[in-house]
Amino acid sequence: MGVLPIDVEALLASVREVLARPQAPLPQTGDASLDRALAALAVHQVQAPTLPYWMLKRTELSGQRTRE
Amino acid sequence: MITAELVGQVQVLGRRALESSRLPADLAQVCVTALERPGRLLGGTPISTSLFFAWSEALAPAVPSTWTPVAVACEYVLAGCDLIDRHTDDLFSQQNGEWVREVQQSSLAAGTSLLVQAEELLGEIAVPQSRQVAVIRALSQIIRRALAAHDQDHLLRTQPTARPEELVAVLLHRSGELVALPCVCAALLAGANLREVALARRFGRALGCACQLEDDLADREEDIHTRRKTLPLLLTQSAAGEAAVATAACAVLIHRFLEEAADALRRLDPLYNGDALWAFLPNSMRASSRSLQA
Repeated sequence: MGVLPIDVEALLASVREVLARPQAPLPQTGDASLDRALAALAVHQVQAPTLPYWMLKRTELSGQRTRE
Repeated sequence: MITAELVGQVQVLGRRALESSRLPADLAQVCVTALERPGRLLGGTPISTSLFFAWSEALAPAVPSTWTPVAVACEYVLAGCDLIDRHTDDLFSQQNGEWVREVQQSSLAAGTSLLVQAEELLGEIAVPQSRQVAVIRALSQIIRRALAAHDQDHLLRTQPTARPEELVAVLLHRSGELVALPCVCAALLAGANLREVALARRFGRALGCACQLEDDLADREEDIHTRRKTLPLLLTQSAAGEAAVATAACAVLIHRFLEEAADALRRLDPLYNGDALWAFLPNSMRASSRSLQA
């Protein structure tokens, strides 16, 4: 699965960087999937910094389920 | 598209099968309580049922009513594993530093009963024998993997720390496989080829991991009390008090699993009816898929 392996310290360092400077150029991790996820995090951090990103996604999923 | 009427039919069949199982009343009640949890057979929109019919509709020209017991079987497996997990939670629960003495043995018995009954249900479905055998085999394999992962989770609770790869293995083989079950069963019943079955499994595993990570993120406090080891807890401890960083790191992992599920859907033939499948993923992922295709 493309998500693996998980380097916890490297992940936290990248996330720290994005949260501190979401509009700066994103860290290049060498992992395309991780880079995309960090880019999505940066977008959410700029657009809705008060709402945790994961909760925003859950809201979106909940909307889907309601529409079903 | 799954409808309230279809869910109702699955629920009626699920209740009827449980009633005919002749379990003692107290065990039957434990099973019902597990099936009434949110996202389970009797608790709102059932996740396995939704996935089973979404994949059935995507891959088969029509979905016969003879397939309905398979949705019930998948729901029984999910609820059965919930109960076995609850038994382990009881074993490791502490209140004010004291072990909770009342371990509910009925959770283990009821959970095992649901798993066995799921296999019995598949033995009765009226489909071509080759497909019936393939579905029974898939269900047995996934139950076996989930139980092995459950045992690993039990072992990790006895240790002071866990490595990320150990936590990922439990996540993949339990939550991932259990959510993959209805996807794989639907693909096998539809007579899908090996590639399509593998994509259904990949989608289900990734979605299952994403959903479990969300739950683990919300349940961090509770998991500390039951000594359960999860990735969100590990990230929280590693972030050393930076709660926002730990939460965002979990969000990044969830996003990656959802992207993995989206990638599986993108690889399916675009002629399939995948609308109901994309509904399980954030809209933005489908939009990016469309722009890629364009």
